[in-house]
Amino acid sequence: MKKKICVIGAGVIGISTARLLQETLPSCDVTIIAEKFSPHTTGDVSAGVWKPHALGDTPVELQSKWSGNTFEHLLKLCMGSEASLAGIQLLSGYLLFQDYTEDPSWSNQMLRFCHMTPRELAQFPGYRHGWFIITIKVECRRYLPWMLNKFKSMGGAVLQRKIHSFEEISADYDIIVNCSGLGSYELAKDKTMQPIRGQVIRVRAPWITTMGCDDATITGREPYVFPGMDDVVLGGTHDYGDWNTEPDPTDTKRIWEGCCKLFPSLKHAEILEVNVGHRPGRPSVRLEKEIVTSGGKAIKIVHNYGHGGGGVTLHWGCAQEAVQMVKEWVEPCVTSRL
Amino acid sequence: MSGVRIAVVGAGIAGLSTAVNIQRNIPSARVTVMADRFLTDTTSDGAAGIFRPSFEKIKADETLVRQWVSDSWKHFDCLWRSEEASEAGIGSVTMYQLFDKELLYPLFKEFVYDFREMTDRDMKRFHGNFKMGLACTTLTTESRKYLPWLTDRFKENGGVVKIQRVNDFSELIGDYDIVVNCTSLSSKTLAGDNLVYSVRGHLLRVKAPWVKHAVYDHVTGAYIIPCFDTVVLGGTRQKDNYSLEIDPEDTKRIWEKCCRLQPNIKKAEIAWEWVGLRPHRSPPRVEKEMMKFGDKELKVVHNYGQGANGITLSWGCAKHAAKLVQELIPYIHSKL
Repeated sequence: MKKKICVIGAGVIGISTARLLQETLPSCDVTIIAEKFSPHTTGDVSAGVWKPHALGDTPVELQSKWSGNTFEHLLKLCMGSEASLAGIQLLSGYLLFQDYTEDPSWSNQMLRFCHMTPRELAQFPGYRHGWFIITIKVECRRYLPWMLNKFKSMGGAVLQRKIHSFEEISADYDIIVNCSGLGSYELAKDKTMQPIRGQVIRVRAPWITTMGCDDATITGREPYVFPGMDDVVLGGTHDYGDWNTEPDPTDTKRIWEGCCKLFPSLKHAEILEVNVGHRPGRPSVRLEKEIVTSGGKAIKIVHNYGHGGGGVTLHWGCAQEAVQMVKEWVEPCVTSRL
Repeated sequence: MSGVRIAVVGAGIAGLSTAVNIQRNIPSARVTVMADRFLTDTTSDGAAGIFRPSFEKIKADETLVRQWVSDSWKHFDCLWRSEEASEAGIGSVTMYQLFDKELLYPLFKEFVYDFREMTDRDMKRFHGNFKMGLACTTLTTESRKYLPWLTDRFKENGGVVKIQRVNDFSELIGDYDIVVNCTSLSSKTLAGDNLVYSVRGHLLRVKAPWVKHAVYDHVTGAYIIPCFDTVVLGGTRQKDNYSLEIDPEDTKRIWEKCCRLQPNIKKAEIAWEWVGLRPHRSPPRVEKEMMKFGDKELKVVHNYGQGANGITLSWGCAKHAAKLVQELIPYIHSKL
């Protein structure tokens, strides 16, 4: 009998997990149930740049494994003919610091990582040190629909609905994969979660091909400029515990001024939108199995949420691990071989 | 000395840049730019204007070339870092050059923002048999923004633009004290110069906003350069070909070699196609000449023949030409 798997959540975590489940376990029926779909997910607000950050105390080895696997997956997509449909592009540019900063653990995972030359730094007055990187940018507004279409074309079912408890759907599915992001605050009653509020301005400035980002993360309000396929994203904010969904004009002003300092020509850019998103903050990413008993029945859940500012950066690596956990339940005899 | 009358013949990038430089050096001069072709009808229109000059391509005295390149770089770098970058059409881009043999480090290494050898991992993402690669971050110039910007600078300093076809420089004797010749390939007839010839270039401008890097495949001659709001795909280098007609065979060849190099181009939509005739001369001509027409004389400063580096060298050569104009001024008899 076919096993029925439900993935809760249709953000970058949910859809990629559902896709990988479909590919890895063709014997199972996979359904995505979510309240929000692109362009209303958290990832849709983000610039989608691959760069591990705001991951709390998630062990570095795990961050490395998940981010590395994700990078390789995106790199393959990036150079292929579907790149533009999937919204994947290479992006190079500068991470800037006022003072010398140690190289990060993920430096060798990017396509290129080196220190900026004095001539490069001269373009950005006020910064004494910096890194030149080549990384990948994901336009979630293209990537999520692209993946969802593939999911549907391969027989995946999609339902639009808000789930309030696992019990609501436990009778219909054998395994639940919880990719509900910040929704787990209620759904999994996980009070360790908190929103990390991000505000961005999207502008039209196609002449900007290189990113510039003050990467100090001291105040969380350092400016960044990430050029993409459809717009240039200016940011940002990292306000822990702030649930406000409305754009804050003080933030808008500060972001605009900070970004125009990085690239003065932005003054002539046309403003397209101002967006607010809430990164699903958690002390560390929750990627684990759980069995919850309710009314005498055991509900099998794989949790895959709490990716903070690293959703896009970790999504494929985490999806691989979540799928492995589901596989252990679906095919127990295979995986428990000595 | 006040009110010296200067005619700049040619309104392409050389003519406009020279006219602006003359105004800056000689604020009292009355400068007229005259041409029969303007803006999108000039030679640099579709070019990506990527800054990558090399000694191999610019066969002139090294000290002179370095001065032209240095002056040009300083000008474009300054514009790039200013608020006017997008108005002037200046952009920065990371560029990769792929080779199947040993490299000669090019001249522009001394100027661009960074210059590095590519890693194997970096090179692997391009399709081809490449042994070495160079990466740098440099500047591009979109003529469709830059020429109007230069024209505005020229007019705001009192410059006059005249729509006039010059068939012979002798026509200008009596009306102008100095003539600056920026007529590119027309110098063959106007200056009797057989050293200048066309190197025909064909390129495609496509919509591919996911491409944020420039790539040059030195084996096939394919290149991909994001410039302002489209991506340039090229190219051709057809010596002594003066045809401005688009050849669909060239279109097909360029498309195929660019898609082979970087498959993610396949989904790009062609916005426009363009043929330009690079005015090549070894060396580019920036010098004074006293042209004689019977018993009459005309003071001329030539500034043409920069070939594939017309945009790159434009400001440096213009600055040089303006200096030569200044040197001619003491020899002009004052008029009442």
